Amino acid sequence: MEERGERLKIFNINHQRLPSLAQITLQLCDANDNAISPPDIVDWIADGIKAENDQLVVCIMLYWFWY
Amino acid sequence: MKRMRALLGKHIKDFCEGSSSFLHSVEEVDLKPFQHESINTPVEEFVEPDDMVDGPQEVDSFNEEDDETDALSLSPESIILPLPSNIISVKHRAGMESLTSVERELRKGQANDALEGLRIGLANKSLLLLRDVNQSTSTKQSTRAWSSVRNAQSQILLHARSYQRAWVALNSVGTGEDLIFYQKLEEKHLVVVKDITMAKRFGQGSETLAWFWRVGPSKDAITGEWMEECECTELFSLSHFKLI
Repeated sequence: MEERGERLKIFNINHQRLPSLAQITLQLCDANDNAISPPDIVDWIADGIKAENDQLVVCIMLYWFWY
Repeated sequence: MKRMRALLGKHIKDFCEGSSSFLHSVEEVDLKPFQHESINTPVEEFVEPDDMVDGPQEVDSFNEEDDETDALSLSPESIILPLPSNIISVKHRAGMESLTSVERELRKGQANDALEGLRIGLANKSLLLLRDVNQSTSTKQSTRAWSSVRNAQSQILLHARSYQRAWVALNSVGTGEDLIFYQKLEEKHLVVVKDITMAKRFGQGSETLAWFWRVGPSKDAITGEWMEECECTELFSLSHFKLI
């Protein structure tokens, strides 16, 4: 979509990317005020979210196997 | 499959052990009950999977062989993780403000990733249907094309469910603004892009794409450009005025 960029406007599509989980994780870890979001907490929660995503992958694969 | 589940079980176990550093003794009753993601591919767009004879046997053998392992690895995909958004106990939620704010930001990232994946998946499926499926000339080509469509479909479903999880979490740790931006995803949204598959169709002009095709960064960037242009115009008119 980035390749086509502005030309997608005729379809009313926004091609600009929102910050990803990885970018936000880095931003929070690099934040100057680490008292609000200590890197340990950021890592731990990001790890939990990735684990949840892995759960979904396994669920979908199981579904395809059982079907 | 067996290996994947074992790895997931280990990942979750490590995560739960790590939770003791940030949360005080969370028990199962403190967490939300497990709910399967309800979103699915719309019936009219569903492509049935191939026959996979060995599949169920492999899953069975996993359950039989791993009796001795701990309960965590039996069905790691249905374990509720002790994340702040999953905690319903009032006593635990009281001292979790910093955890909640971090999770809120990270869930937005998860939602963004899922929406990006969803858009790519739907566009990919549309292209595959238009190009590979419609233009296949032999059974071999057609089989391969449908197999690619199935892969794209499972990718779409994965991202849709990931978004749904992020949205449910934002409901619990997010603000009203977040829920205005991140809307509810419904089955009817998981349809192929008809502008690709059925271009120049009757009534095309009156149809609109789902909301997630239009979301993007806030208008600051655009407003910035406008403001720059506005400032330039203002400067120009001022200098022009002075000259006069």
